[in-house]
Amino acid sequence: MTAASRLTWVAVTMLTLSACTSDRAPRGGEPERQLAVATMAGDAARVAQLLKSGANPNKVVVVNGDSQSPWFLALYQLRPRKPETVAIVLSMLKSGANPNDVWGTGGGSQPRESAWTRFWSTGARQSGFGNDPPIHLAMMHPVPEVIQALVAAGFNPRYGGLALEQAVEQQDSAIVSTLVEAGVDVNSLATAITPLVAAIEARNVELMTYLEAHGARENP
Amino acid sequence: MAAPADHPVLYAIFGLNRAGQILYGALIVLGFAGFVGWTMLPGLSFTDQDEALFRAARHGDRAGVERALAAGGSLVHEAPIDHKTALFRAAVFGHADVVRLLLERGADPNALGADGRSALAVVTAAREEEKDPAAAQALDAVAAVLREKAASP
Repeated sequence: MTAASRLTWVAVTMLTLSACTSDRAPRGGEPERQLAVATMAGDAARVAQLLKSGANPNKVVVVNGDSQSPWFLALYQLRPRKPETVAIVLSMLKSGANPNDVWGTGGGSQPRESAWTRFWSTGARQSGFGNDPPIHLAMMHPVPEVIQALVAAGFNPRYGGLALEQAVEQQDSAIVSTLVEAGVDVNSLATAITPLVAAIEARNVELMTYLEAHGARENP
Repeated sequence: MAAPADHPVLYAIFGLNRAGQILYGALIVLGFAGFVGWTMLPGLSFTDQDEALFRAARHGDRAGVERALAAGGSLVHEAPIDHKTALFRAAVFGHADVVRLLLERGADPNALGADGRSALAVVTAAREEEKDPAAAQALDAVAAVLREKAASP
């Protein structure tokens, strides 16, 4: 083997490896730090003002010793009964928050998951810095409006399998129809069961009929 | 050959004599094949007629069940996801008349799903958490039919 071909091999291997690792998180500055603080304070007016002046919700800043993006914090604190948290998420989606990727960490004071646990878990990670599809975080305390806004902002239906199954289990027909109409596969096997079997186990005839009408099968 | 202490796991498997290698090798291969077969066979044998039969059973559509059975739907085939037969689908939605029809045609009332529960166990559990009186009554009727058939096959 000549030196040149050996070099080529090294270059190809390095390129392949670099393609396999995930992208580095985008780092933010002072406007993003202020946006994170306003988000945690639940100050929807201040968040809207900062977004208008150009703060990017996707960029990561250090908050209380953890790397967080304002977009992650907004999704993590989302609760259906707190309208200000819903308003913050909606205004971020209007101002360019990424509907398919969010960087952050779910609480640095908790023990970190092992790499093995993280490899096998399908849902949102509990701790440790990384990125996830925002729909996984949004489904922890689901709000139909937020799911609709994610879809309107260009959500990739490939990431919706787990959310569809969770929505069927929780028998939330508004979210189920939003996801199915957005193009999420009704026969997806994101977990051990399909959405149709989840509807059967919940004994929900309306959801079952709806899924059947959109092509759900016993044999996916 | 490497010293056994260097590779304890490999030695545990391959340090056997020839008879042991054949016996344990056969057990491992057969066990793996059995597991793959158990997980994959329901999906491979599940036909479009079965799909129609399960759908009719879920909706309590007696005529649909008759049609699907005439077209070749199977009372024995299991759903690929939860390994339950059409009987479970009719039972869990409280369609006593369809359950009776399926049992008359030879469905096994003692078949078990992937969770190890029979149709009667599933219906009993559903009955306990049912709050709507009409639906509870339907589940009671199904449980009665299943008990009767399970007792005297």
